[in-house]
Amino acid sequence: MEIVRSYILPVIRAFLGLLLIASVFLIVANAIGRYLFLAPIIWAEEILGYVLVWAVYLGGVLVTWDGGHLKMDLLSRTLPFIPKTIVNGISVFVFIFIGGLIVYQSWFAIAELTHVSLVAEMPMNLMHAIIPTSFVFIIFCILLRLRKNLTGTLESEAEQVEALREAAAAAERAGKTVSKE
Amino acid sequence: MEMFLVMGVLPIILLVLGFPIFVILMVSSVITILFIMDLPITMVQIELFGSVDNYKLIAVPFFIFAGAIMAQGGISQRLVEWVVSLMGAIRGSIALTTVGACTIFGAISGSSPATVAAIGGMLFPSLREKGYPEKFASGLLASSGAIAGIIPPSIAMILYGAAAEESVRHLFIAGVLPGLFIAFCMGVYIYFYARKRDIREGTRFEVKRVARSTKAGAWALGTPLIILGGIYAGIFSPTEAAGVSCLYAVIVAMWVYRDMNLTGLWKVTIESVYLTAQVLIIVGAATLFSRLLTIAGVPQEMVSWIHNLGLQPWMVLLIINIFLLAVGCVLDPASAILVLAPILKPVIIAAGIDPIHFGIIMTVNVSIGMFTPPFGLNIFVTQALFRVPLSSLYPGLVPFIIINIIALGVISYWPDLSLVLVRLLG
Repeated sequence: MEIVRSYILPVIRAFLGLLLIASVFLIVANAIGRYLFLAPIIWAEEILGYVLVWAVYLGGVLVTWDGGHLKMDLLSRTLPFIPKTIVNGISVFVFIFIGGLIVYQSWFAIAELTHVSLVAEMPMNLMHAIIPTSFVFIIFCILLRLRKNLTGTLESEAEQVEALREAAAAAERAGKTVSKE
Repeated sequence: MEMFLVMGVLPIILLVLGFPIFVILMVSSVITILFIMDLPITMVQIELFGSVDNYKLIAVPFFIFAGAIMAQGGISQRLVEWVVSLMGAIRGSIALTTVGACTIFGAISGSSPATVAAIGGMLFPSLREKGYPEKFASGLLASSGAIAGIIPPSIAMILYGAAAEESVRHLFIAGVLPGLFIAFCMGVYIYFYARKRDIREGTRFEVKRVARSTKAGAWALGTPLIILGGIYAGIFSPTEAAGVSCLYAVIVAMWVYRDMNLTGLWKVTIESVYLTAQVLIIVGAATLFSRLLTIAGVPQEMVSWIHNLGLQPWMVLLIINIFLLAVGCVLDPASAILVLAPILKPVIIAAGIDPIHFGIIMTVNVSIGMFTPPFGLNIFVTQALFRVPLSSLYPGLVPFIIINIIALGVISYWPDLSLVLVRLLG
């Protein structure tokens, strides 16, 4: 578990962070190129689309690790311990089944993708491969934190509230400056 | 019948049980593909990839990123200072400032909870200090934050544009007047509330103060101008405007205001990537889900059903509005829009309603859901941030929900409010 927390997740975070920053530069460069030099980067839109796919599914690994997927769990959270654990268990089982099925069907779908993209000429099987790869990691993350997933004690919610609280506290400090003025 | 159970009943049961929305949509879709419609399972891969590989959606991470930089890089603080300086003399000025600041912040970031945190953190203590009751102050914040979802650039509108295959630029143009109209309606209520309660903030309007705050906030005020001006003038596509706004925000936060360093920027970058994945992973599953409904002919059946009932367009709109308000109470805006927009689009077109106008109606509906009990996300953000009990927060929301529903009625039945600017600028 420590290897995932200390090495794999930070590498994914760093990779996705750099992808986002590079995307900003690419889209701005495309706009500048089009207006100032009448030379747009013709492969920019296509590549940005693939970057988004990679960011979303690889980012899904980070979201799964701390149980941050969007859900409406206000009712289920009020359940007593045993029924809650049973419901969480079914949810985990279904998630693993769906993840496994996505990996399985990707194998056949990707095998048929032998072409390259229209403009950037990227091999499409490589672009598509991020989906099964991400879901292998996602299943791995769920299994590694199986106990926390079952008991519903993943830290994401508390961390998110804490992050928002920090933002509000920072804003409140700024607000005091406002009212002083 | 099997289809109804798997695509209608099962998702509701799993939603109540607290399953992740991505899993709910995927499990219903997979059962339908394998056991009901006998379709090739490899369509899962094609939909998961093809739905996210969409140029319109690239704007989502950029707007999230720009909003996060502005919230933490001192830009939102200067915007609030500017609004305070303008509204200081009006009765109810702090409450009006809350609405005004949320509106301007909404013109930068499409995120409701981020707006509640950024603006609420600055203004909630002042609201309480000036004598606004806790239930009013918390209700005001939770509902004002939702304006961010309506004022362009709005993430909900980008998702609608992608799901319903409509122009995001036109949606952004159409959203301006309805967003300002909702802010105006809330402003009128606040003014009369403050007058009735004799709440006096005790500040005076000073030209010097306005000039000072305008000078200090000029760079911050440039952000919505760049985003919306660039899009409306046809200089940038919404996606390019989002990218340019990120770069502008970095420059302003790091080198003009010097309120953010490289570590802070990296933290914000990682948070933005996380939020993007959290929202957009639903796109693939929701697109697969709605594609299956389309293949099964559900939208066409709905169109012929409504046609057979002989409903007038205003009745169709009324039914859809009630349905969307109910959905918005229990489902997050992204999921509601991604699943329902492709299904409802044929229905509203058959009823003679403009799909751009409908995009605005849908966005307003799901935004109202953000602060409608029992499950509106802004309610829980407000509760968690300002430690307001639900017993105080729920009654405080009632007048704002009523105002927003009245505004929704006007927006729904007065299409020109949304479409006049599209005709002028489109």
